[in-house]
Amino acid sequence: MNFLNGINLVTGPGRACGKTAFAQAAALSLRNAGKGFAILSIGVEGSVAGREAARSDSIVSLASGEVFITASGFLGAATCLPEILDVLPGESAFGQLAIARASRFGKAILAGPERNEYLRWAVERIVGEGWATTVIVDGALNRITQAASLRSARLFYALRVDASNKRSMAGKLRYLHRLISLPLLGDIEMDIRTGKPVSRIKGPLTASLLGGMASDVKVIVVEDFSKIFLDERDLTDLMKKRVLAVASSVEFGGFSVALRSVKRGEFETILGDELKNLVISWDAYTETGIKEMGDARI
Amino acid sequence: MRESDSVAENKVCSPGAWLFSRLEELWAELQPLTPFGRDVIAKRIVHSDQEMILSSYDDINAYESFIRVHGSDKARIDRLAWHLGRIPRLPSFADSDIAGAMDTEVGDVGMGGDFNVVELFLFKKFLSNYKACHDLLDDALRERFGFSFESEPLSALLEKGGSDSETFQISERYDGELRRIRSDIGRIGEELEKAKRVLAESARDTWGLDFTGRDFLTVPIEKAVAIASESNCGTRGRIAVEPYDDFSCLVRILPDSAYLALEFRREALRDEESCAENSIASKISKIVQRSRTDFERYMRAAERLDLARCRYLLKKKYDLCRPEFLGRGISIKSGRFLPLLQDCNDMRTTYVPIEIDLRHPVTVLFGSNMGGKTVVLQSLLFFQIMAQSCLNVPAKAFSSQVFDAIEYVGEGAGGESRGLSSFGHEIHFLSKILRMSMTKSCLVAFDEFAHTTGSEEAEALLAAVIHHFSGMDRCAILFATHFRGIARHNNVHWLKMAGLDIEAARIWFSAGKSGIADASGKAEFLETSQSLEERIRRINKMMRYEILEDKGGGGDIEDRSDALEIASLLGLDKNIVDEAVSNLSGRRLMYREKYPE
Repeated sequence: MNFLNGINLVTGPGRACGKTAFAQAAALSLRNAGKGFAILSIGVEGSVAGREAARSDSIVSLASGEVFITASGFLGAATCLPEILDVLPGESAFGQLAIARASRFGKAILAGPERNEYLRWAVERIVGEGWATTVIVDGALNRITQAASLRSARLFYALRVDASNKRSMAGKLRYLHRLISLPLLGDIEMDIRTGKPVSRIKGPLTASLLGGMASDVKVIVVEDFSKIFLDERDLTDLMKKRVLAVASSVEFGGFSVALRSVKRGEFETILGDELKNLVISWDAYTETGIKEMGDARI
Repeated sequence: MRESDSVAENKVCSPGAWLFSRLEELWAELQPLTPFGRDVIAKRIVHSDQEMILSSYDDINAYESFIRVHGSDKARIDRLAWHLGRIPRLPSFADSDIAGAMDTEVGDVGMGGDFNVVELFLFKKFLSNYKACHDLLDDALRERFGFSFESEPLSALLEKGGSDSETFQISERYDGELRRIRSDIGRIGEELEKAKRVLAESARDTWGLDFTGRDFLTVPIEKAVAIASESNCGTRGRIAVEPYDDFSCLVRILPDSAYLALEFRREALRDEESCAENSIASKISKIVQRSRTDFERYMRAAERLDLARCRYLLKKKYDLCRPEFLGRGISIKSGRFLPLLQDCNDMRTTYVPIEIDLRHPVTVLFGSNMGGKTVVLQSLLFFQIMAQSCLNVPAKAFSSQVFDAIEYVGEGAGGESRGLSSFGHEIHFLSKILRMSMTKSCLVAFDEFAHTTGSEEAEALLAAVIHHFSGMDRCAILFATHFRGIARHNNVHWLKMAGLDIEAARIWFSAGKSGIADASGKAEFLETSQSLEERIRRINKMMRYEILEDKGGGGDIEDRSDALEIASLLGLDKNIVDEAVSNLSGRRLMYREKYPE
């Protein structure tokens, strides 16, 4: 199975990109296979206007034994009879965040820490205490940095494609694929040994940093791909002139693509063979959607 | 009083003195395990209450005795640390109206004083781990820290909620009515699941739709339209169909009336369940509220034990000694200024422990550039702030007094940001310290006071300041200075750093600058092009970091500054150094002897 054991982080490029639907479908595929899991989201909507929307989007069904994170202010609405396992440091707009376990089938409102260090703390508690071996994190938008902060997390990237954005979304997929395919430092040791000047970047690699770099630097090493903050053009330009490598890799789980008014075949053609094989879900809500996303193909 | 309550004590040590002492570099090694201990350590409290400081040392000694007796039982020590580390921060009692809460009728929920489920969980987790710590301590330590446990009934009550000692929920074990309600909800839930399965099987058999646990599906538009038209006839099960995009529709199973009736019944039961849960939470909350003073005592005990433990671990790691407070003077035997010791280890140079015995209120320390004057000031503040932070100190022996204020005046003390020049900042601070010293015992380190002004005026000012402070017996005022023309007063220690080992330097110079000699005269050959770090290492090797008594400028050696030798050792152009030496006609640097043509 694609999600079994380990930490699964789902992120995506904007609102309504389908990441929550994908995370919940991943949970369902695990439940259907008889496997336990923990599920959490990032943050809790604090604005009054956003409350209802946030709640409806964050309500999940949970079976007995499944673990989740919620806020104390949401516990009254939980119908899954939560048993509190631990409390996270800090406070949210809806009270303290708690790790809980469902005691019966029912619903609950998901929440989670916004700060990366609390996210790591919570996930380590869940796995370390043996409450769950599989964790699904419905991650924040555009925050692939969370993948690096969660050690050994598997990254999934969800995006919604419609007729107006199919080419730009394909571009986003292609861009992310280039990032996750960057060579590891160990793979380019030959370049380093042959005396090519190497620049090791601690922190983010940005266009302005690149602009100030000596022209004789031929190899650039960043900590991991989440530290690269270049647009597609800058990245292409950089990779034409220099070798870009990462010191550590982030495991990639696959893409989730939710199509709206676009035929799958049409989008597959835009993506090309290599990229289309990295899509593990074309819509978790088609009849065969859950079965497809559960297949280990990546 | 808990250490965490003593906020005012923070005012003892100025931020400038704290930074100058480099104690921050050691502070991160204090690793308390409880939130209360972490709060205290995070505040960086420097105390002036001698009784509290001595009591903290007694706590460390008590914990050390416990380790001496039980340390061989490693599992016990590990378990103690494990449970201490799991004691959570408790919810605040501050907003709770205890009396009001106890008068509240059962069932009158949501009133002040009630804790929510997450908060009750925290009380349970606290009691569970506190009790475990209590059981692991011996009688002597329990008595020392007030680590009593008198909450068996509450602990047993909270134990009923949750599947183990550290989890919590409002369990049906609290109330028979809640048990009945949940049993009914469970039964209806099973019936609903069964009904849902029947509807799903019907949808699969009739329409070929496999929902596999999903509330809705997206299906191709042709199939959806066919389902919609047949479903509307009502003969083959009811399916709701709505458009999704150009090619597909959303379909979902519509519940029948029997299913809806069960859902309504379950909702009503959930409301009853919620009322019953709130009522139970309210009852438990009242009992917790009544135990408020117990919890406060437990928190105090946990904090003290935690602080004693982390301070003991630091003592053990660095072989620290317990300070003595004798009322006057500062005396250090074999003191190790740990941040510098670490620097020396990193640079592979030798660290010379500090020996000093100060009985007068003022100390003036002369010395060469790079001779270690500033380090002596830093060391004295480091030891003193450690002692007043309830830490043992890295020395064979340390005796001192407890000061009301610890200050630093010198580079980086913080006045520049207010637009003052260095001199303006120094005078501003001096005025503040003069006022303070009228009522408080002060330890103040002045590093190169007035160094930015003319030497004649600076010496006159320094002499006046030293004279003033020499009458302040309750203070310890330390000056490190280059200015040697200061008029001497009584009641003042006149000290100097031993400075550059001229013999070692001479050997190095005569070796044609290609090797360095240490105090034994043994030359170590290095490459001619040396990094700054290597040059500093060389100077450090030739420097004697001893504190000597300064007799007062009578002899040639007393006036030696070593500045030009050090500039030369740091690689300054030889022509510049030569000219500087010739400008110093009449001074006895003997430079040319070291640079034979």
